[in-house]
Amino acid sequence: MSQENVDILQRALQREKAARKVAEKILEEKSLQLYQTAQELKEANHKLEHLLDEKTSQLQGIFENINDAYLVMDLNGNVIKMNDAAIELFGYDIEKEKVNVVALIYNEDYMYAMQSFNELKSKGAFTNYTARVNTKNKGIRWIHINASVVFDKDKNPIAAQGIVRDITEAKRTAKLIEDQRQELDVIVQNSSFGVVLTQNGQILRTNETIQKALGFSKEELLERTIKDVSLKEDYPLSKEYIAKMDAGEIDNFVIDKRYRKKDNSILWAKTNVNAVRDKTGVIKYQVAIIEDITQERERSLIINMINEVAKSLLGKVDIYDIALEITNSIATYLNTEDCVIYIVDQEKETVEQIAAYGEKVTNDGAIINKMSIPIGKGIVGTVAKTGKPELIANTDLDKRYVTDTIKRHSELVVPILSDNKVIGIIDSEHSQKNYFTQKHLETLQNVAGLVSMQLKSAINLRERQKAENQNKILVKELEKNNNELQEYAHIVSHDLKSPLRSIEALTSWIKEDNKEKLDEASLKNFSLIEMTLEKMEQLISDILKYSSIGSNDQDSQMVDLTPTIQDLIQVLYVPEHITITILRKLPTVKGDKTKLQQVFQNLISNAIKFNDKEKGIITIDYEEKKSYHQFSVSDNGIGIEKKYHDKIFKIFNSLKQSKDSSGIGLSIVKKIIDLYQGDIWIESEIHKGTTFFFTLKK
Amino acid sequence: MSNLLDVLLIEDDTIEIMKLNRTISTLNVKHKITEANNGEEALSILKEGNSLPDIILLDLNMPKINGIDFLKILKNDVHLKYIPTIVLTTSNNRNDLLECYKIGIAGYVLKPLKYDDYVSKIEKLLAYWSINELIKA
Repeated sequence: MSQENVDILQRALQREKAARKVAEKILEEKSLQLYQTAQELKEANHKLEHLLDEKTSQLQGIFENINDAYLVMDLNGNVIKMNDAAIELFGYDIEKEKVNVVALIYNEDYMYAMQSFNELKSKGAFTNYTARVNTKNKGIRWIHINASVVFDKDKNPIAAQGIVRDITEAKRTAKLIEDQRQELDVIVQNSSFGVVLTQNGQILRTNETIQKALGFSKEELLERTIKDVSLKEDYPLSKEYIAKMDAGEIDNFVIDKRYRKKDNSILWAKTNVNAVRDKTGVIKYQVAIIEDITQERERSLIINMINEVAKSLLGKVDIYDIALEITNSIATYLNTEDCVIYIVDQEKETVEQIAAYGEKVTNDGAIINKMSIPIGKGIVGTVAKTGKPELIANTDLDKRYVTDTIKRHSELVVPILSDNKVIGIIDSEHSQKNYFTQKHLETLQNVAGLVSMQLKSAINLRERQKAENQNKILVKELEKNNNELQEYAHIVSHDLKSPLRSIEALTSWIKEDNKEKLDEASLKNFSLIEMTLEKMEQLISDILKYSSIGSNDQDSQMVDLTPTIQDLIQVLYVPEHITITILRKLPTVKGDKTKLQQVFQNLISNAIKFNDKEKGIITIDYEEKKSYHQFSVSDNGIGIEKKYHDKIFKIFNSLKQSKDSSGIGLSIVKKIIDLYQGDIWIESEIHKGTTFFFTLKK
Repeated sequence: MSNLLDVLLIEDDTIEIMKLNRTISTLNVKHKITEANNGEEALSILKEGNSLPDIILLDLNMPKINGIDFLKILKNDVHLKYIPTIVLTTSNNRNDLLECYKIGIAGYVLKPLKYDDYVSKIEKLLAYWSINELIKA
């Protein structure tokens, strides 16, 4: 090492020594300063502690007496003070162990806690801090904190204090309530009943069910009152109950009422109204529970109506009665002002109104202005033609619509079918558009099916009555014609007989006036004229008799034939050689005495007339049969050839020329027996005799 | 002692009139016969004549007003309805018979075929009425 180097080193050492001395001096000064500062700080600290003590003792008085937990911590979170409530809450006691609040923070709430702490530092306070904490003994608790920063005199933050409330229970209760509320809401919202909360009629709350049922949104309902969605017709009933409820007489009532839906259709509902009262008994709210019974009602209406129709048809045979019952029942069911029943007239090819409900009828059910519609014309006529029902939602759009009494906007037309043929029509109209439903249509079809048989038989009955009436008219006409014919026969016979009388008179005068001058031959001719005239007279009389035979009032008299025939024989001219015997007692029969006499008279006369035997024997016999009387008149006369047996009963078929035979006698007999639904026939042997048999129906 | 009758014969048939007249003369009775050929004529005779007949013999089948119509008019007349009217006809129509008695007749005689029978009936008829007390108008 060189001197120079040693010098340098020595100089450096000296410099260093000098510098150290300076530094030591500075250090000494600084140390003194520091000491002084430390002393001052110590003093200040003392002061602060004193202040704090003072404050603390002041606060102690306040906070020790509050129920809530109270905490003071330094800015590092070390708890420096806690009251008994806090000890109770957290389970820690700072007198026994150190407690830092950070350790208490529930993990999930850490971020929130830090945020809140920063807020506390920057703003000096926070309120409504709600979070969870870990406690020593009670597990996780929900707490609520209002906190503020504690500043020193220089406004430096030195600590934080907070009031802590255990809200675990409250929170749980709130949650429970919320849960329950939600549960309740779920129940209310999902209830199949409509629920409406109202106050003085104003709608406050509704559930989905009623919203859907009425077609209004929640908001739309809030703008409405119960009245707005009800029907005027139902006001009086509701009003009555509401009045009782307001008066405190009842807390609950149930009514079946109608609601008007948004689309104007009707909802029938069973409505259960409950009053919610305040402590003084004044109604705060009304809760209405609304059950849609439209379908049930419809069903029961249908059943009722069908029952009604079925019941009303029982024992009714008159087509008008039946139709009237149907119209009334249907109109009630459809709740409409117009219903008409038509029947089809196949002959005229029209449908005719036979019964109606509403303005079409008078009080006693008679139709005003009966309409008749050609098949195929109009809606009714179309249904009559096609047999298919028609549901017209808007008659404005249907050109076929025929206005009857007044124009209506919906129409429902259903055919009454029998064997696939339209026999009648049910036609109902309503003033509103879109009134009728498919359900209505189906129901009316059911009714139509129900009444078709009855209506059919009623129509048949009517047809039969028509036919019977026609028959009656025909019979009457026939009777009239018959009478006219008889009158005519009398006139003709008079007109024919008069000239005979004149001829007779004239010939007799000629004979008388020329008594002496006439020779034998002329006198004989005169007597031939007389005989011819007599025959002519007889012929005319017989024709008149024949044509006069017809049924009359006397046909149902009871005639005892024994005395009748005995009298007849007394009156008849019976020659000496002829004996007439009645073999048996004759019965009493139903008939016209004169006609019965005519039968026997003709047969007996013939038996007398055509007898060629020395001792003529005529016997009258009788035999009772089950359903008829059988008579016989036998003689031992000339007999009739077989080939004439049928011919003899025909008019103008006299077999033998005879002075007093017109050939009409047996025709008269035959006609009378026909009239009494009997038969006549003969058994005969030529030269030996003839037996005429005839029967009369019992 | 029998009355002489004033008889009004209402008859359209000439021969019938002749028959009655001849019968009267044959019977040699002095009854007075007035003839009317139809109902109208008879009515005018009854209304215009100074005296009314004692009896009327009436045929039913006549043109214009027939016998029954005439009878109705007669029986509706306050004065004429008292004259006994005997129907003389060939018609034995029961309806006519009933109708005539209903309206009011004093007899219903059928004209027989034989003239002799006719004379006999008329004789009895006139004899009967001539022994009756009659309203002399």
